[in-house]
Amino acid sequence: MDTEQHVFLRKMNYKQPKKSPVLEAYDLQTWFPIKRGILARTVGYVRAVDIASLYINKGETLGLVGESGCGKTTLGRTLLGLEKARRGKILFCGKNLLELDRRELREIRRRMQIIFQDPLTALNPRMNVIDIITEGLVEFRLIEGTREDHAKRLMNEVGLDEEAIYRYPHEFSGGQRQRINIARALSLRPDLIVCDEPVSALDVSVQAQVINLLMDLRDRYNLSYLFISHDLSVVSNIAHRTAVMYLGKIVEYGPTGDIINKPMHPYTKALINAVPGPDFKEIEHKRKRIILKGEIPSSSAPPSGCMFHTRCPEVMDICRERAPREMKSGLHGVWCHLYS
Amino acid sequence: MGFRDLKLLEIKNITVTFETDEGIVKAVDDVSFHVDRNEIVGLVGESGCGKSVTALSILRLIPLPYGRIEAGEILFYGKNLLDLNHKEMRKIRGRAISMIFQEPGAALSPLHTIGRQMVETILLHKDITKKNAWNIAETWLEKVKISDPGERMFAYPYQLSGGMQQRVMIAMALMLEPDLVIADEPTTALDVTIQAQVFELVREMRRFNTSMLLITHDMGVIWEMCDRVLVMYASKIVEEGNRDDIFLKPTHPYTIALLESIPKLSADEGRLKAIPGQVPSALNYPSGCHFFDRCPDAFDRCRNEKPELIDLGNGHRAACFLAKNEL
Repeated sequence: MDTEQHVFLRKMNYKQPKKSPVLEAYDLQTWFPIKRGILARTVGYVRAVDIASLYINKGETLGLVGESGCGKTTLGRTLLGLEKARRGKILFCGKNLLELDRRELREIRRRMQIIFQDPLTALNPRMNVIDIITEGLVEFRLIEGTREDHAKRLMNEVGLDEEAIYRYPHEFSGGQRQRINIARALSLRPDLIVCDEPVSALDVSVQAQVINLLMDLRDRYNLSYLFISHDLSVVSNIAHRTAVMYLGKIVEYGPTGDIINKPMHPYTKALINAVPGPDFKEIEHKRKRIILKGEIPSSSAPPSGCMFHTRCPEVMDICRERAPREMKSGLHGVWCHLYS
Repeated sequence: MGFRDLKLLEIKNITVTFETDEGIVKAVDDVSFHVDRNEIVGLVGESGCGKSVTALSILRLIPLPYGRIEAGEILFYGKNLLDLNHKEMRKIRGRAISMIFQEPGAALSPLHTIGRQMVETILLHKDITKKNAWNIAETWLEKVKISDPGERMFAYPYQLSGGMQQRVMIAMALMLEPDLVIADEPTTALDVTIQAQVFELVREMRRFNTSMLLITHDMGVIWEMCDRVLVMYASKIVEEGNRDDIFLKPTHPYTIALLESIPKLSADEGRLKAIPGQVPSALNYPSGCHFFDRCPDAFDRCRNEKPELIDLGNGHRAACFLAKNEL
């Protein structure tokens, strides 16, 4: 495959304005009840996702970064309908997912897939590869020809040996297992794949192979990804746009280049600063060391005002009282009182 | 030779094997290195390369009866730890050499309070009253920046967050002022902002003159923390040198490829340089250089002959036939 041409095409595609969002989400809220006592009374809520909006265009990758417990996985699952949103609107190719009946939802679900973090637990140990990667096709009656042909084609697509289709997941290495997961997600020709930390469990030398594979497939099939990761360096390599999440809220979003080179939110700055390693001389705000105090507060009792004020190095009086509004310039948006 | 001239830790030609159902596996193959006083040495490699086994073998914590230290010497101030009996070894562990594990939640006892665990460790090694031990523990919690140390002493591990638990582990590892701390992936389970806090803490702890052997898979962590680096691949050390030499003048093709394959924080999107293939199984390493199958520069000699570490000057050594001393 001609990589340079693809990089070029990708950039061209990206420069075009928001033309056809595959997925749009507005003001999503996913709360989990906390139950206590023998009557299991609801005594409070864990606000895993608390008002988040985003969109993903066709062929585009949106990176979603944040620390553990910030709600990024819950947001991804909510978008797929795996968690029930308490409030908000999810439009998939223009249809509101929260209003569809079961039959319509079933058809939509074929078009959105997910890849999980731990490639082994995501695969049934008692099914062989051919059963795993053609299960969806059989379920949706999409088999033309033999199952073997489909399975072999998918194996080739993800760079695995097509002769291995009768093997079981435990016979593969971590990177190969993640390729099987990708083949399964790919089998139903989806429009959107939610990649939830797809390379976090892999060794660095294998990580790069899987990231490259995901990029190739995206360009070949014009796929859209929601790429969830705690690792900003991984996201910066694959995502066109990046959203930063903290305590259930998106605090900043924009083209990945702007997020890395011109971060606005103090939390984004701190996250970039905390990425360990050399080669950051060109990134100016890496020179000074920013170390955040304390830890991420509990999402069952989030702080008043701006969620980040308990750890923010640039906190002002107003941050403790009022939640900031979105400040937007072009494709870059931020929720911070410093800019209002 | 005086006490001061002795190397803090010197590992000579150590080989560790494990008995498995499929055969005998060499987890560590003829590995030698040293750690000097007041030095942080990083041991970096991918999972299964033998880095954790190397660390465990120093404290003789290799699980019996399957694991065995086949050959070699572990010299701690010139004394071979492999010659010590159980009782003598227990005096070393925790006191002269302490360890920080990857999962603080699993390393702390869930049934006892932080204070009780810390005091128990101190009393095992020091002949002091319980009250004094309690005070030492409390001051160390303060030194690792735990708020309300007095109250935290009564807390159970589950009541603390991951970052706090790791701080407790660091306090426990340092409170007996050991000569060497072995840290096995100390920040892998933590978020980046918490990891940055732990880095800062360890940097501050250097004033206690503690030396450290830091084991990690993350080159970024190595860059932040270490003075010297050992790169391990498939049970062998393939390159060693000062941090800057390893990052700026990597010589072994594996080190070069490893550094290139790490996703860099950058605004430019693009393909990564991946290392083809995968780490070979310890049951059937290539007969020559272990990196032979994946090496872009491999030639005939690499197939059957094992390369020795070649000195490149300034303590920089690489186990590759292509490495040349240019000085």
